[in-house]
Amino acid sequence: MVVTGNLKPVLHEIRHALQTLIEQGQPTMLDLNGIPFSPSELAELETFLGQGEIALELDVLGKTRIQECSYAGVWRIQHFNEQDKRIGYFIEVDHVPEILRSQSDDMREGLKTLSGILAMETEVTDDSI
Amino acid sequence: MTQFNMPTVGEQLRENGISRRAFLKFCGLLASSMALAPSMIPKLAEALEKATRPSVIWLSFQECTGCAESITRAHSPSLEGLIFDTISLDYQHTLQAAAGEAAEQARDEAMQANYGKYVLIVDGSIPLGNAGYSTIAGVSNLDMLKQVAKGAAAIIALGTCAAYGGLPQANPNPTGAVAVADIIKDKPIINVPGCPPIPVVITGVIAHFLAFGLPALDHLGRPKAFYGQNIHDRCYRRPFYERGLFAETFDDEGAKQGWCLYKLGCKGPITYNACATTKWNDGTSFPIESGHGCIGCSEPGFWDFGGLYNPVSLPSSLSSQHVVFATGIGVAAGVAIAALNKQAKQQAKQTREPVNVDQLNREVQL
Repeated sequence: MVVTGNLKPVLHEIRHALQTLIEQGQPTMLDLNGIPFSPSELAELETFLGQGEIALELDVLGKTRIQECSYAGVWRIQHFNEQDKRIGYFIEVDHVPEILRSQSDDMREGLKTLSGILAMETEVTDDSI
Repeated sequence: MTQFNMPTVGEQLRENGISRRAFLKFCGLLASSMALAPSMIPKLAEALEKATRPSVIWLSFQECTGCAESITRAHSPSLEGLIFDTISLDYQHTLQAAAGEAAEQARDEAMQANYGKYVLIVDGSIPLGNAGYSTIAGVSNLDMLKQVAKGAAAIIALGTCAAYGGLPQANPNPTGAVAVADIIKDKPIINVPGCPPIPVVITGVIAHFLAFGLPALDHLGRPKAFYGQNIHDRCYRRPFYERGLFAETFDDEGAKQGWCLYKLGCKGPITYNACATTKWNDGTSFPIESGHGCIGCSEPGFWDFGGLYNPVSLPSSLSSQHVVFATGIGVAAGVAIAALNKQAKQQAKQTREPVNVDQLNREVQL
């Protein structure tokens, strides 16, 4: 059986990242694609991380599947292309994964649209009086 | 066609229906392909959002179009495709619709409109022998390169031919082929070697240039982000090498067990590229994973390494790092590199004579 020896250091890195998040509030992201694992090590990693309460699927440039692991604050982020082939695999250690947050520019645009619609409605109401 | 008010990369992607959340995913994948630390993702997103869509002029000299195939055959829709769509490719004589004088006019117009700012991509080597060996619209490759390079902000030498001379330069080099860097001395040149280069490496270099400017380069002019890692170091078969387990033929028990291909001529120990992690064909595999040794295609002079199936010779630029890789098995067997016969090493250096594992072991035991 092939063993790269990369599993243990990665698990410790996740542990360290979670500690940093708790103590300093600083999030961490690990790119698992850049680290060679044997199939058995990858399976061991999956088992170790386990499944938490949340599992989400986003539809952005293909699917993105997000799962909270057994350890709160440790998230499994898997990006897929439109043929449903996994093209990115990250571990994000944060309160909420960055990709789930509404983006500031989008919110500003939303506010603008919302204000516009409400202003128009007010005008219509004024006219009808 | 070149526009004077170029949109930013962010605007361009949004125009193509890429939401900001999708853009963030895109940047995450891009950062991963560029071997950037994941903490750089927000910085990459911010920089790319604001980067101006660049004008690109792509010149093809003594080449086989494999480099262009590599990027255009990338699975769609892909990261490579998205980045490729954000550039304004104003001249590429294989891909563009215009031909003849209209094509050359498009190149002139793009050069004038973006003088000093456009990115020049070159694939293929430049013949210094007879100018007639390779011409475009009656202009020799040498003259066209000099002319277009003058107004370029930076040059990307795409593929091993443009970066180091490649196949055309292989012994006896009948056309007198040279690399871009042998001719152009006053512009930043990024070498993106490979025969062909990995598609996402090509676009990753473009993305890096757009977001952060010139990438950090190694001593051979290659971006360290993609070429900083040794194939051998990142190879999933490395544990077999460490244990001295080698396939002796392509169909023996060792080959079936997936043992190290060092003895079958794998050039992984002297090759720097991203194949072992980025992989090929939409991330399916890379040559070693398909049972064939690395041929070292991103290294200068790889055609003249002395046979694709001969075990790695001691490289001519003998560095301590190379020695460690080439003799790792010796180390694994508990023998010291210091014992290597000096004369044999010197001779191998001069003649680039292959030194295989058995010879190394014999020499160190003398």
